[in-house]
Amino acid sequence: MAGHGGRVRTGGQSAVAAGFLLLAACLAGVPLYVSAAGSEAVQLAIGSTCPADVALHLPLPSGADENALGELLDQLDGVAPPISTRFATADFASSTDPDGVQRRLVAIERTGAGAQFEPGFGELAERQLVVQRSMADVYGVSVGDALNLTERRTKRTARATIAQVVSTIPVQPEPAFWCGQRGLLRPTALGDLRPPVVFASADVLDRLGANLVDVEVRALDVRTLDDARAMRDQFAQAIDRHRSRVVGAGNPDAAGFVGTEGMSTVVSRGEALAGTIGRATAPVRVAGVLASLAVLVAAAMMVARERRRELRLAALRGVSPFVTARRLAADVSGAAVVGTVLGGVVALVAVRTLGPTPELEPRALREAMVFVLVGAVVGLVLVAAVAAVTGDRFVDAAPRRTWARWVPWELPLVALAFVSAARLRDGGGLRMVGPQSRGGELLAQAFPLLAVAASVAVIARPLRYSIGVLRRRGRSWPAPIRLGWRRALAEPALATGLVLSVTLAVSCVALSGMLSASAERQLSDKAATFIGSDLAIALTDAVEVPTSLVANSTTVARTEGRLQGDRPDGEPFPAQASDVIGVDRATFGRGAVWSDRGPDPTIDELFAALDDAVAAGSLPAIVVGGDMVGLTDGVGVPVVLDARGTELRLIPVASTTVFPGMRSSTATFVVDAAALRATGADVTDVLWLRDPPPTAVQDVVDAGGRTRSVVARADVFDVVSFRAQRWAYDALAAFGVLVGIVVLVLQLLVLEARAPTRRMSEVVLRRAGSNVAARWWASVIESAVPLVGGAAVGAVIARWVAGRSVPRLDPLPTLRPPGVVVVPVGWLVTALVVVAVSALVLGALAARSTGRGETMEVIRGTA
Amino acid sequence: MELRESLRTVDPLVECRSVIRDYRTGGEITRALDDVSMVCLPGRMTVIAGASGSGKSTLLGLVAGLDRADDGLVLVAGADVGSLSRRGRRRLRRDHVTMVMPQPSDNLFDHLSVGENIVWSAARSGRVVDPVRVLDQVELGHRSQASVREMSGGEQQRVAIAAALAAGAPVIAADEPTASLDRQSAALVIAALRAGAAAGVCVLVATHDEDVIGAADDVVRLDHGRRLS
Repeated sequence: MAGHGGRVRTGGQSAVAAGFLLLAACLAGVPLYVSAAGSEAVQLAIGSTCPADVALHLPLPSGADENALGELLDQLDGVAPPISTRFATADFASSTDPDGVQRRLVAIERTGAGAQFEPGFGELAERQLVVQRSMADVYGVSVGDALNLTERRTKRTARATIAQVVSTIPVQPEPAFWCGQRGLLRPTALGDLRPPVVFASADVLDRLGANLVDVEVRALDVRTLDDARAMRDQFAQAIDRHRSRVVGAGNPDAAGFVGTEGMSTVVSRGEALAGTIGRATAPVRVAGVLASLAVLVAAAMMVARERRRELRLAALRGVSPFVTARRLAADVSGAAVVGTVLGGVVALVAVRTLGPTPELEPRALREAMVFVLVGAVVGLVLVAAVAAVTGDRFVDAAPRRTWARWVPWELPLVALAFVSAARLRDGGGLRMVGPQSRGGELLAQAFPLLAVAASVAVIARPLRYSIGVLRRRGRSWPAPIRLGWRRALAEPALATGLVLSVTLAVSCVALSGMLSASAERQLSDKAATFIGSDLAIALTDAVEVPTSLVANSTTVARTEGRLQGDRPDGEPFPAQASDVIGVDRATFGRGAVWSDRGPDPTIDELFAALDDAVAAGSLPAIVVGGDMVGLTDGVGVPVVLDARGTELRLIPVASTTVFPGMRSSTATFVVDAAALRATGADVTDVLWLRDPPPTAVQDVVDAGGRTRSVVARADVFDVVSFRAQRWAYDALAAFGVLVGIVVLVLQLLVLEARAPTRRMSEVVLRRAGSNVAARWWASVIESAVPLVGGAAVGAVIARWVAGRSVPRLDPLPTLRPPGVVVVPVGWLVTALVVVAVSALVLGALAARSTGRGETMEVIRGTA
Repeated sequence: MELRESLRTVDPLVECRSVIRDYRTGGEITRALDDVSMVCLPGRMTVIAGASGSGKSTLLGLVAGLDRADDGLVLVAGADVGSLSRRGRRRLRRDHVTMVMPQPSDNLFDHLSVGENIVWSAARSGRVVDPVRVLDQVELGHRSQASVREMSGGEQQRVAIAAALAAGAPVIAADEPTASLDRQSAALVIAALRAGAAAGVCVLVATHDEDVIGAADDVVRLDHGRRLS
């Protein structure tokens, strides 16, 4: 054989290009996606972390080599100008205070601090101070007042005058510039205010003996994981040089002046997440590559069929398949290059526009290119080999193995799906562990995809049989519809392949949407259940709820205690504490986030039970999660709790599995708040707010409330870990979309391959009175049948697999409520629209190609 | 046994002994060849004659290594075709048996010129030939530069026979070579086949064309898979 020529054949070449496109997109897409996830994790980690916490900190003792420090700082790239801070804790008395009461303050000098206020201040003159408004208000000091300062440890003194009063630095959250000093600004855990921070001139701090200087270097432009690694390495080198040259290796205080940096934490989180996403997307990568290779094999057979005459002649003349393959490889290399380049570009554009972030690491780009190149070579060899061997078999076929059709090829896939389900049941999927996502073992994480693949494999034979039966249906149907139907199903094997390909694509996309939406809903539900509402403010003292918040708030009284005695089954109660929540039933509905679900009693039924008469000295209680402490059926069984020194006697009157405010792995007893307080137990008031205004916390503070902790629903879970849940499933959707594109291309090729037959029958039908409308109807039905059928089956499979995956993929299985499958309607509508539009477009193209050519041209086969 | 080596020592070139070939379609077995024996000698044109479905093409396919007998022996140059590996059968087709298909266009690459087809065919077995001289044997030397598509079916079939001769294979197996030709073109093809036989090639033709049968040195008649004469 000497290269191919003659009539231009585009079907096989197009199929080859489509296969290479899919292969390149899968091979490039996954590493780029993982890289994007890692980079976005870095950006999120940096964005959600105080910049000072990820900065380089170089503490300077007195006598440090400042020239060496200057050189060191000059060598750092991609960093903001350094910020130096030094401070001293001092007692002070105001000159205007006749009693001379000693109070404490923290005097600091920080580079650029004056620019953070409006109006700001520049470098302070000698013996000057700037105080915050809160200090001025609380201590009654004002501009012009002189303060006598005494350093607490050294007793060194200084006198300074207040030159300006600036606004109070906000806390929780603090502005980025101050967040590193939050320990000086935030109230204590018990709500006590910190000593006020004042800004002092350099000479004042010198007089007070403030020698410790912290040089803070913040990173700029860390956008990718590679950037973060480079910054971490740069910081580590800076710390080494700081120790050896700035502090001095021989300095006896060197051990106390070790530099620190927080970029390592960012990098480790990014790497951990990239690794997790890599594991989570590995099944998609494997499936994508396998699907691509299957498409390439089909394309190669298509090429062989197109060139059947010349391949058969070559085989008849004894040409080796190896020689034929070399020729074919050269012939299809153009299509391979086009497909590969397009696939790489599709992957790049898709990840940059639809991925977690457009920022991609150069390393990932190089890795993707290597994968794509290797894949292209392997694909080219595969296509050439399959086409050549197929050509050889045209004249020297292997004996037909009739038994082959009875071999249950789908069984290994089904068995693998079962193994995967077992691994997922035992080990779970992607788990949120603190600020990290862990887990995502390949086989366990592959369950959704394997379940889809196994389902598709299992229905293949029945579907083929059904198509064989169904293709004869439609005798009473309108002629165009019957014609389209029978054309679509004329070849059962081909029709089965098309339907199942569409099924695979639609089920992957739909399943991805369901898993993502279910994971988000799951985590949102768990967050709301964990804190009880959208916002929970723990208060130091009871407070009158501000009018602006009354309509959507409730106050609960919380305490905790150990269960005393034995469980009903005789075993001792577990050592961990159980929660007690006192609810105000009149306002509970306003502030708590609650949804009735499953077999649990309704909230009204539960609250009605709290009115049950119980023994004197006991409180009626609702048991939540009693199974976790051995009270599975604990209604009516009295329990005693030691709640922070107070003995609480509770009589369970109802039980439920989920209740707002419950925590993981522990039982909760819900009682009436007033009754709980009446026992004298040490309780903490927690204000639950639904849909809180942005000023909610400030409103509470303004109303005189002292807050202990503030937890918002959105802040319960680490944002990076939370996002990882969604990223893990997005790749499945991308795979489905790619398969869908390839399926559409293949269907177009099939329709084109059938065009001569359609034209011939059209010639006959035209003479029998058929018109253009009938031709269009027939074509649309022909293209719609596999698409609609496949989409319907795919949606059913996706829903079935989601029902089995969601509970097992629970990222926080110990925290209730358990997951429910959420079907994202938007996704389904989009899929339906895509299927409908595809059917119409393909039908239109088929109708046009059917009507092409004059009668005689059609009969001669030259149309 | 090496085929080329056996070629020097074995005569006849093609020998079939009690060949049986069954086809299974669904649950039924159709016997295409039933205990057929025959020989084909070098320098002679042997025709396998019979009606459609008599087993002519099946027998030709067995000789060319395109198929395998269920029973019996098919020897080409002394080698048992049935026991050859796939590679051996490929070598058989390359070096010993050149098949000519019924459809003229199936025998030539239409993207090569006539002369290029001849050169390519010869090169398969490592030979270098002058295409014009080869084509002269079938009286088409003047069409060496022509495109295959420009030629009539009869001319294409003669070029195919010339290509087979150029390949130097000792056996030419032609399946219905005149089936799609008019009598005038068929006569030229028959002449080309005769020229091959005259050149010492063992020409084996499956046909029901009486003109071809009339030109044969030997005739094997088949009917429903059985040899009649």
